[in-house]
Amino acid sequence: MVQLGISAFYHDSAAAIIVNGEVIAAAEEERFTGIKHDHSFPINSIKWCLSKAGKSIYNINEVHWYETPEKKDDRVSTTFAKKPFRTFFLNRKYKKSKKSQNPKNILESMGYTGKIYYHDHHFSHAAFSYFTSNFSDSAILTVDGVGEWETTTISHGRGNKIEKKISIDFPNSLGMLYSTITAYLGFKPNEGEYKVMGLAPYGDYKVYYSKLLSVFENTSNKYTINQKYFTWEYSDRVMFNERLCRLLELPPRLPEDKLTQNHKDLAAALQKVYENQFLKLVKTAKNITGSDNLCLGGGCAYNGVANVLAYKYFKSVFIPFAPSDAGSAIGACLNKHTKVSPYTGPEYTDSYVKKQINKHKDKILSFKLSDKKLFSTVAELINAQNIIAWFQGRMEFGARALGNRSILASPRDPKMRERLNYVIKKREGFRPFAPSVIEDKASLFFDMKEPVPHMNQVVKAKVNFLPAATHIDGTCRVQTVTKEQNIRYYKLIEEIGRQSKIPVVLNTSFNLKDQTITISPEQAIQRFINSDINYLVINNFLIKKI
Amino acid sequence: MNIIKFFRNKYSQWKRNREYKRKLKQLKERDPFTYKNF
Repeated sequence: MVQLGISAFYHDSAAAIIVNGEVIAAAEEERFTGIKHDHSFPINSIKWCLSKAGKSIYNINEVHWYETPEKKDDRVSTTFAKKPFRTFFLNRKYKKSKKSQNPKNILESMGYTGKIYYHDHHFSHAAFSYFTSNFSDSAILTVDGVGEWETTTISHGRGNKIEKKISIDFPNSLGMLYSTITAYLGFKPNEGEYKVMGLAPYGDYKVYYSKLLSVFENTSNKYTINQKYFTWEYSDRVMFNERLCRLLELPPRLPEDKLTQNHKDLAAALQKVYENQFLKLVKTAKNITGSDNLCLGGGCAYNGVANVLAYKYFKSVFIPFAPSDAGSAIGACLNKHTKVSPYTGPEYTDSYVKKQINKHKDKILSFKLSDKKLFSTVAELINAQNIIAWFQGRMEFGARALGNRSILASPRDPKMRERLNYVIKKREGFRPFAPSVIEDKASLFFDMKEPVPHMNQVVKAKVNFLPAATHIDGTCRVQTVTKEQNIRYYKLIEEIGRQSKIPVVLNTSFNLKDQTITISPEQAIQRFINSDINYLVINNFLIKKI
Repeated sequence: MNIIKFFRNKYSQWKRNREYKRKLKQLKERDPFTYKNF
């Protein structure tokens, strides 16, 4: 049985190929096109997945689409009908795009004539989270901007069944509210939410908390949001109107404007409002299911600060490596528990890497080292405050670099954060970096309830000697690493620990400003040459600039 | 005095609203600054 899972036309288009229940390959389209959060049909991802699995489009038995176009269409036309004059041109634009975005037509034009299974957007999120977890009984909470109608669902997963219990529909959306304030603060929605989360600890939430809370008509577990402040139902240009400005008594920030204390306070208030509402949903999930386990899904599950609050009601919390729309390409195909690794992308042989290195012989020098020598040399370089681009094995799926396409550095150097933010990544100075730690040793450094393999929980640091990976409020978005997850990354951190007594490394994604995460050796070499990164490691090649 | 205060408040409110309008207009003229939901 060969299944192709597709997520497209929303935020993070992706494709996955599953052969006899095993995920053989999965990749996000943005990595191939270089367009961040690319929402176009994932033709490149599909082609790559097929070639990786050694299949052609004619070998596909089933296509699973991550949402139900008719239901989405119903939501959009119902919404537009509320304001027919205001949405006249938008409606025309939507109808035009709908024609070109018909999954059946696109797949037929590629040669696929089999059945297409459509799944509800939030079901795909829930399935990806629950079926890739170790739980046989779990509450499932999915929160995002919007799917077809739903923006939030609570389900109960038992065995191979997912039963939906509660849902909240558009336009009441916590995800949309978060994105709106992200836009209000001058960051790009669906991209800048991380920045808002990072900015929040610098602010005082009390300043804007009550004002922001007043956009809710009702803050129960079935919350409703007053639409008079927002343009979600009739605009594709901005997400709020002048009334929101008057309510907050703060002009919206343009991207080039200076960040003031007011902006930090608003970010803090938004995070607090989100956390409180999230906690109510978590409590409801507990009451409805009575389970000790919780699976989180949807784009909002990237909110690591809020995620840890779920331990108030649940003993164990699972968040998959790609809880947003990308992961739904895999989720749509799953109907039973399946072990899925986050490392599902392309990998490259040594001979291919050597060929790429030779193309830049005038700019770089390379040394091929044995595994043992490589780990000890790279650990030494990291401990000596060098910045290393670390490119190994298969590319990660999802927004996080989990040790195969990472930039690594010492978290003990107090100046490393500024160096990385300003010199390498050329981004805002307030943004934190994450530490990766050997799982067995994690509790020595971090106050955590359980392992965090996918870097999606923010926990308190127990020590003060990791300044580059600790945020202003003493927290870290930690990643725990085991041999089973990633043997080479584990061995490297172990070696760093052997040399320095601290088995922790700073890990940030291997990309520069406004770029997607590195996919190939040629891209890695190009980015290395154009940046101030000290060394590049691809497989066993240690590369330095001449 | 109260009248002066009243007009001063009205003026600053008008100024603030004008600033909100200006910023919103600038935002609208840029690339779509929104979460895709259609």
